[in-house]
Amino acid sequence: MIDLPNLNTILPEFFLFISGILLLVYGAFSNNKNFSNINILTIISIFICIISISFVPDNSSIANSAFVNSLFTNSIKTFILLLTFLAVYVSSNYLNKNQLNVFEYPVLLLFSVLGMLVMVSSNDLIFLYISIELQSLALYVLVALRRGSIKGSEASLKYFILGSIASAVILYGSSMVYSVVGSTNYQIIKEFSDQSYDNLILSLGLVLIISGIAFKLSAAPFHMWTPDVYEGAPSSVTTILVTLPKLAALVVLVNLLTNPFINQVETWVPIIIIISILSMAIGSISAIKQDNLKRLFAFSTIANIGYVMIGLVCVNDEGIKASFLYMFIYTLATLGVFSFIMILRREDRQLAAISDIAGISKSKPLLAVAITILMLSLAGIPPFGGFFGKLFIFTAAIESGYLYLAISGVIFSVISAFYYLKIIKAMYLDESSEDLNYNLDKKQFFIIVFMAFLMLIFVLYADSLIFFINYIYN
Amino acid sequence: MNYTEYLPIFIFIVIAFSMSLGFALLSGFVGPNKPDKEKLSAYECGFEPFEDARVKFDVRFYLVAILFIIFDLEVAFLFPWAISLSLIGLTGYFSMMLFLLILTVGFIYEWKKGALDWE
Amino acid sequence: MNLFFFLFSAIIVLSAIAVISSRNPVHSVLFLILAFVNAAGIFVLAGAEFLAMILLIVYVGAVAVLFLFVVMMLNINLEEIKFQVKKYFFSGLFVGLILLAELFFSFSNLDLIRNKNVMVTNSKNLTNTHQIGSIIYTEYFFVFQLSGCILLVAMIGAIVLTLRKRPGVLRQTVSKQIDRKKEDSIEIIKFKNNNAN
Repeated sequence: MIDLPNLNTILPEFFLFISGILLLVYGAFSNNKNFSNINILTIISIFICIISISFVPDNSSIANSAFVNSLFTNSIKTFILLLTFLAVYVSSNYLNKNQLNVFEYPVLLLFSVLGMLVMVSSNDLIFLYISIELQSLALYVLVALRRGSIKGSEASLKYFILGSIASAVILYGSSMVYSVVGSTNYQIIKEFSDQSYDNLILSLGLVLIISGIAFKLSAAPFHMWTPDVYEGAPSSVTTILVTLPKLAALVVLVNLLTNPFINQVETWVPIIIIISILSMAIGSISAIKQDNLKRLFAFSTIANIGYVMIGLVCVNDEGIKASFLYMFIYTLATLGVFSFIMILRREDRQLAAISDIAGISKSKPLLAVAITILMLSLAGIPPFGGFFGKLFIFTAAIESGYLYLAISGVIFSVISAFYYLKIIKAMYLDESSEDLNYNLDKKQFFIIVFMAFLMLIFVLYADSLIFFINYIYN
Repeated sequence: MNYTEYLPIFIFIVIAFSMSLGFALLSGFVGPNKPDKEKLSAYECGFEPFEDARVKFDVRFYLVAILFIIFDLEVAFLFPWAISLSLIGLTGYFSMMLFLLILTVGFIYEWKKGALDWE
Repeated sequence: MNLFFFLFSAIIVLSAIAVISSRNPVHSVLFLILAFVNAAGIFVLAGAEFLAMILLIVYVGAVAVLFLFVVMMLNINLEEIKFQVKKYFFSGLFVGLILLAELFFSFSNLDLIRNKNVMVTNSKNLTNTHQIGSIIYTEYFFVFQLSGCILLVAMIGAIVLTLRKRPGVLRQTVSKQIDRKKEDSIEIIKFKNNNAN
C-alpha cells in the first residue's frame, strides 16, 4: 500500500503530475492570453522535478517492486528532464511564430514526460504498458497540433494508428508472458525463466514485446511511420520525438532484455542483430535521396538506432554502456540539428528543404560552422563526439565477437557520411537563389552553438563521462 | 458454474427475438402487397428519395461523443469500487477520490474552454 | 453450456465477416455491435461477468456510438475502399495468417499455460467484480492513477484538436448578466417641466 515515507520514491513523478494539473487549471482560467507565463512556469516545474530527483533514495521501490529506482534510473530521469527543458526553451519562439502557442502544449508535454519517467523506472509489465500509453497518447496529440495542415493531420493519423497497433502488440506479448508466468513482475518472470528458459510461449511474448518497443524506437523493419511523422509534425514536436521517447524506450528495452528475459538470450540476440543491420542499412541508404531536411534526419535517426542496437547485442555491460553513451551524444546532436531546422524561416513560412540552406555560410558564418561540427559529429568523424560514440560501440562489438556487425556499421556510417557532407556542401558551396534573411532567434542559435561546442569539447571530457556512466550503471 | 441467474435474461432474449421476428414476418405475409414502380419514384417536386442519407456531420458531435466515452470509462472504474469499498478501506476510498480529482480537473478545463457549449 | 458457447462464437465469427464485407458502413458498425454483444456472452460463460458488462457499457454503449458518428462524418465511398482492398489483400492475409498461427501455437501448448506455479486463491468465494475491486485501488494504486492521467490527456487532446471557436456567435455570459445593475442600462432623468401649471 502507499504510506507517506514512500512518497520520496515517486517524488519527481509526483511533482510533474501536480505541475501538469496546476498548469492546466491555470491555463484554463487565464484564457490562453499569457503563453510566455506558462512557458516559464513549465521550465520552473521541470527544474523542481530535477531537484526533487536528488531526494529519491537509490535502490528504492514501491508497489511490490513494480516501480524501481536506482542511481541509473535517476540519472536517466535527470537527463530526460534536462532534454525536456532544452526542448521547451528552444521552441518557445517557434511556437509563437507558428500559432502553436496554446497552453495545452506544455501541459501535454509534461504528461508525456511523466509517462517517460515511469517507463524508465517500471519493473512490471502493467506499469510499462500504461506508461508507454500515457507517453505516446500525449505525443499523438502534439503531432496533430497544427490543425490546418494536411501533412500534419496525415502524420498524426499514421502515428496514432500504427502506434496503437504497436501498443496492442506489446499488450498481446505481455498477456502471453502473463499466461505462462502468472505474474507481470520482472523479478517473478526472471525466476520463472530460470527454471524453464526454453518456454516457447514466453519467447513468443518476448518477441512481440520487442517488436512493439522497436516500433517506438523507430527501428527497422518497424520504421515506416518515422519519415512521414517527422515531416508532418511541427518541428518543435519533432525535436521532442527524436530525443525523449527514444531514450526512454531504449532504457525500457535494456531493462527488459537484461533483467527478466536474460535467459532468453538465444531468442532475442538474433532479432536485435537483424533489427540493427536493417536499421543501419535502411536509414543510411534511404536518406541519400531525401531533399527535405526533416525526412533526411528521420532516416538518420533510424540509422543511429541501428548503431545503438549493436551495443545491446553484446549482452555485457560494456556494450550497454556504449549504447547509452552513443544515445546521449546522438540526442544532444539532433537537438542542435532540429533547433537549426526551427530557425529556417523566411517571411511567414517554415522551411525544411536542403536548397533553403544553400549559401548560409556567407550570411551566418558562425551558424554554418556550428552545423558543420554537428554534421561531422553525426557522421562519426574524429575528433567530434559522434566518433567516440561509434568507436565505443564498435569496440564493444568486436570484443564480444561480432566483427561483422562492426564492419557493417563502419560501411554504413561511410554511406551516411555522404548525406551529412551534402548538407555541409549546400551550406558552403551552393549559391542561394533567394536572398537569405533568416531572423535568428537567440535561444535557438544559442542551443545550436552550445551543442556544437559540446561535440567539439567531448574529446576533453570523454574520460570523465565514461567514468560517470560506469559509475551510474552498476 | 451456475448460470440459473441468467435464465430470466435468456427468456427475455428469446421472447424479444421471437416477437420482433414474428412482427416482421407476419406483416410480410398478411399485409397487402402490391408493388408498383411509381411508388418508388420521387413525388412531384420532392427530392430524390434514394440518395445517400448521410450528410457531413459537425465535428462537435464527435467531441461530445469522445467526452462521453471518457466519463463512461470513469464510471466503469466506479462500479467495482462501489461494491468492494468494504474490502479496501480508506486507501481505496482516497485512491478513488484522487482519480476523480484528476478527471474533475479535466472537467473544469473542459468547461472553461467552452467545449460543452453548443453555440 | 457448450451449446451456448458455439452459438455465441458462431455469431461472432459470422458478424465479424459481415463487418468487413457489408456494403454500407453503417451496417458494418451494427454488425460490430452484434459481435461485441456476443463477445460479452462468451465472457459471461467464462465466468467474467464484470468484463462482460464493461464490454456492453463501454464498447456497445459508447465506442460503437462514436464509430457511428465517425462513419457519418467521413462519408466514405465504399467502392473506392473495396478497390483498395484488392491491393492489400495478400499482405493483409499474411498478417492474419501469422496471428492465426500464433493462436494455434498457443493452443497446442496449453499445458505450458496450465502448469503454473501460481495458485489462484479465492477463499471467500467472491465474485470477480469484488476481486478486481479489492486490488485495483490499493495494490495497483499507481497504475490506476496513471490511467486517470491517460483519460485526462485524452480529454485535453479531444478538445485541443476539435474545438474551434467560431467568430460572431452570440454567447451567454451568466456572470455578466447577473452583474448588470439598474444604473448601467437605465438613466433616470428628472425632467423639470417649467411650463407646466
